[in-house]
Amino acid sequence: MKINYILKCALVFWLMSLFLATDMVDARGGGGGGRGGGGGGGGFSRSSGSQMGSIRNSGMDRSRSYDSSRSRPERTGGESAVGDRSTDRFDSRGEGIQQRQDTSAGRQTDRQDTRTDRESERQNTRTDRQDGRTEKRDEGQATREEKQTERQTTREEKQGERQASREERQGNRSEQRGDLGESIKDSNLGEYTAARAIQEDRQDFIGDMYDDYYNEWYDDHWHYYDMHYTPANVYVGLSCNHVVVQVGNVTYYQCGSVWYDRVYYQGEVHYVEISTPKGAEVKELKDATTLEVSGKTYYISNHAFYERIKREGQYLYVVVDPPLGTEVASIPKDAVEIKVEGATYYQYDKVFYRKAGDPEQTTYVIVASPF
Amino acid sequence: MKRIKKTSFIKLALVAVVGLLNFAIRPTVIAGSANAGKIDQTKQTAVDSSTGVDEQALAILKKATSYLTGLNQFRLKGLAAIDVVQDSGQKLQFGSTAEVTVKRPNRIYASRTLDEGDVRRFWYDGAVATLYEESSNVYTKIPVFDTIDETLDYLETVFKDPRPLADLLYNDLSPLLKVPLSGSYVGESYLGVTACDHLAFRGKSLDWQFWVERGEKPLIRKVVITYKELPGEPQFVAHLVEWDTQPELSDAIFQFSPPEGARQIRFVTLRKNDSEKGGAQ
Repeated sequence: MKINYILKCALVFWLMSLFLATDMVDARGGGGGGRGGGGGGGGFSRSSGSQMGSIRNSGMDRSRSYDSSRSRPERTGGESAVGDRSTDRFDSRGEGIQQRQDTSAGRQTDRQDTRTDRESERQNTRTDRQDGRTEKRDEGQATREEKQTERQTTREEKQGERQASREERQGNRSEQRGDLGESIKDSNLGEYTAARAIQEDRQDFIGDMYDDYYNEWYDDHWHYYDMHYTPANVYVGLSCNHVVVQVGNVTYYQCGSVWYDRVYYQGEVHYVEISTPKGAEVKELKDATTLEVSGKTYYISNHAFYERIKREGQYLYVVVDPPLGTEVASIPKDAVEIKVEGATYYQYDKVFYRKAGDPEQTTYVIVASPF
Repeated sequence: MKRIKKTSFIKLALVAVVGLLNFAIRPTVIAGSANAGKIDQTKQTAVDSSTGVDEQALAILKKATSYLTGLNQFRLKGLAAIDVVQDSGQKLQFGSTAEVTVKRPNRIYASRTLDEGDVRRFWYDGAVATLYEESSNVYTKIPVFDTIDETLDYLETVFKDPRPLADLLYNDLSPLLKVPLSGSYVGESYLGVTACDHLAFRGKSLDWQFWVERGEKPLIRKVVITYKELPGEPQFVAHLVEWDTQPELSDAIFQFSPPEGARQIRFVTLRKNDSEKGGAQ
């Protein structure tokens, strides 16, 4: 009997402990424990990257990126980018923000109209701006005005393309939303799902709006800064055994024969590989080939062009701009292929190449910047 | 024999009753500790059908955002921490102190001192945004929009330079009321001696919490953002320890003048297929 009693007691306590154990797990609910140790060693990344953004833009696809390989407005001749900076201010586009605040359910069907309105508003604004600029620049620069007109035309064409693209996206989304609407009616998920659909719709809207901003800003301002500078890679830090080199009053970093410069990327200072900076000097050049261009002798080493000078009785090799039109057998392996107005270029820092030669033996010609 | 049986039965019953009582009491105990973890479901109020957010939470958020947008200028100091998930999966937290000065509608100056000692500054003067890194003595300038809202959106979306705390700097904070898919009033919470209302919201890609000071000045005192779609679900935490709602400001503080020897460097954006590398080899 006593054994029976003990067994019953044990059973009761066991059941209780089961309840308690279950409760303990629940109480921790959602806590999830930390992740297990993990590697370490070496340097730790301190950069949170571009993914940890604001709450208000949290629905956006942060992987959106501008495709710089698309064709750009042609820019040739002596047009001064610096001159443009003073007059081409970045105009307010407040209409987008105002529109964004409108998140009523009915907006979904009106969006296309709104967007079209916006497009035409923008078009008008742009035309006004264009007029304003032309007035300001009324300094006998006929060619410049022609270029403005060309750019305007290009912009209009691009707007047409973007409009078509948006319409297509809108069409797809409307279908999807239509399907979702039906499923909402049929389900009892109710308002939560509806709210979510509206939210996603708003996020699509914001995404489109900034696509517009980006495209328009780029069309208007691409030449202001080195937006066309497309490095092959951007490095968070230099893990190679680098030396700091001063060329003129600029500090560069050198790992072996590769040079790096600092740039801002995603709000922080990063490093990019560059061509050997103009003005850099070395006392001797190994494995250099020589080239005569217009009576001048160039020494080519590691894709950089040098001239030999004599200073204080000593010969030095100084990096110079490569002469345009020079044909070379190869280009740096990290040169970036870009397309400008349908033509293919290879860009390595500030040097541009185009393919030449025949298919059996490709060579490259150094050309002027297409931007 | 019978006596023993009766006693043992009573004892068993007593044990069972205690056990059941214990079981019955536990949920209450858990609910009582809700402030430390779970949201107290029993205290939930009605949910706003248009937003999916608890009405009390929405009302407090509305009050806080209205108050903030009503300030023509302000200065705030905060302590922030951000998780950086390493390739190994290890999550590290890095801290910074920040001071932000805002003059609506188009002036911002921000200074951030990282826990590694570096100082980063940001100027926005209504036309140009300047980023400066003190240790490298380099800066870059970006032509931007003429309002805070457009500029911050632009920097985040185009230049991929997001600032989690930027949510509080906009002229229009109404999107914060529209973003949540759901939201809850967690309860009263003290940050030091400051009584706050603790709000929790859920979004599509992130969850966030605000601690809003109780009283006449419903200032946001703490922000936690959880990026639940990112590997390791990193968090951003900011304690906004000091608010000056009536600072004396001159336009000069929003203007950047390059320190001696400072070099302007380029900003770059990568093409779609380009990559960011951890370190040059």
